[in-house]
Amino acid sequence: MKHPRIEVKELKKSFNETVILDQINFKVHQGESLVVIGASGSGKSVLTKCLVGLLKPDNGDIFLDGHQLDTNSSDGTPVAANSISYVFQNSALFDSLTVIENISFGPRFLNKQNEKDANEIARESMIKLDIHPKFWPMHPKELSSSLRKIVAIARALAVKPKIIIFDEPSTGLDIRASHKLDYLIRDSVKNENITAITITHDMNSALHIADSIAMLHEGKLIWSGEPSELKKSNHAEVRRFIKPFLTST
Amino acid sequence: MVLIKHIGQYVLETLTTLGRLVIFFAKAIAHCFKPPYFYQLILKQVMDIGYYSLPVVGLTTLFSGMVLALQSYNGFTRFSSESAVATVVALSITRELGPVLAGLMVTGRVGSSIAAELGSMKVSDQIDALKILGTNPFDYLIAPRIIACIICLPILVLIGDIIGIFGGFLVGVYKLNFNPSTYLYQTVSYLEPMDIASGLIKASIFGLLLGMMGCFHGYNCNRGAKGVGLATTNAVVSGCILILIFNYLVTELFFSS
Ligand SMILES: Nc1ncnc2c1ncn2[C@@H]1O[C@H](COP(=O)(O)OP(=O)(O)OP(=O)(O)O)[C@@H](O)[C@H]1O
Ligand SMILES: [Mg+2]
Repeated sequence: MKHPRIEVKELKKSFNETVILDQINFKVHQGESLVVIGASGSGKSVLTKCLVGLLKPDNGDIFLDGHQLDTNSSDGTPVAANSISYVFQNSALFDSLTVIENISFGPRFLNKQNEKDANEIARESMIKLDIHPKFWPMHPKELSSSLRKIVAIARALAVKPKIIIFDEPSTGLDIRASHKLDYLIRDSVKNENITAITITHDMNSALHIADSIAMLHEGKLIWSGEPSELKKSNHAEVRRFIKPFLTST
Repeated sequence: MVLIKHIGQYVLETLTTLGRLVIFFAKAIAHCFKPPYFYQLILKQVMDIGYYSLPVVGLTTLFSGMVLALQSYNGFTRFSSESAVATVVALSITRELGPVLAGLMVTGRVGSSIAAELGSMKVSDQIDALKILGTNPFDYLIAPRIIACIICLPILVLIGDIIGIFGGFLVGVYKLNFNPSTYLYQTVSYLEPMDIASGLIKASIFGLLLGMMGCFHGYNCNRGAKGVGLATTNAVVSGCILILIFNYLVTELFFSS
């Protein structure tokens, strides 16, 4: 049988004795879109950072395509970098570089393209995400925070990853941009066979882009399943979490 | 009991930090000698660190040279050996004041800005983003800064030496009425290459120290609003203290025999 693209077994992570994540187990297959939901502080960002090797779990194993992630590699370049891309919750654009330099950074230094090709890829990526050419030579601090987010997404897509993690990509975007982003994630997963893990607080977009949904609560994975099953769940915490959404639709 | 616990905790924390520093130091040095090199970044840092520190270093050494001439004249007239003023100014500037003052001033200007820059990159996840995009922050951020500090400091000190001696010359000639050519003659005749060389070697070491402290504290900056501020303060304080300690050690090494 084919290995799942990502498999997490018994993951545990704590900071200074405070347990943030405990007993996390899940699998994501190629071309599948997993959405992680959960209240603020439930450990969603910590979980995804463990997946790419930015944080070192205390316990547990992470497999990418059946290969165990070397969680012991010290704080240099993460081992997972070649196939995984990450959109940070706060964009994390390089302040000292322009928009186009930010986006061509990955093609240049991760995919080892020459400068000209890298710029070409960056250009394609920016056009795909409707980033107006007037913004290309600007620095991140000159952009609005939602545009920074879009640039961060363009930067992550430009390296043509096999797996991409979005940490709250649509937070702060207007409805149109956030819908567009949902379609983009959906298309990337279906057409390019990318595996996506998306953290979001927006239940509408969660239901739209997810093949499966997982809910974190106080560091534990309390529910996972298909989007259609979410509303039927009897789990008290799940019901509490989705209630505001159910009453608003 | 509580006291003992606090002392124990403090000792442990200090030892942990020291251990982290040693590992950081070794890694940073290793990455200075290991490709990939980002030449453009090194060049940019040389401009930032070296070129823009010129005014600060120039002014500091100029006035130190001037004051030194005044003070030593004042002292030396008491046993009528005014002729030693030029020599004393030249020796103290090249051997001590040039490197130490430049080192301290550049720590204030550059060590702090390195710590602030790396600290804010750390806090806003930019350092993590670098790693995700296949670039080791030690290659991309730390090595260029440390290399630039090691290159720039001796150059700054050499320029500072000249300006400082010139400051002494100004005071000597225009205020203390020395004959200009005698003053210059006395400046060069007792000055040995080793005096200047030792100052420049010191400067390189100070550059390494201040760059390392800036990078270490910035790179290990804590999250939260106070993190970056604390990192800058720590970078400057530890940089200055280390410079003064190593100044003694290196001087001892050079001139004790
Ligand atoms: N580097 C760190 N050091 C110490 N504690 C941390 C660190 N990173 C995260 N935490 C803690 O871990 C917990 C989970 O944080 P995390 O960022 O994963 O939350 P989240 O689910 O992403 O929330 P949000 O929706 O607000 O982004 C928080 O209580 C946070 O304080
Ligand atoms: Mg988060």
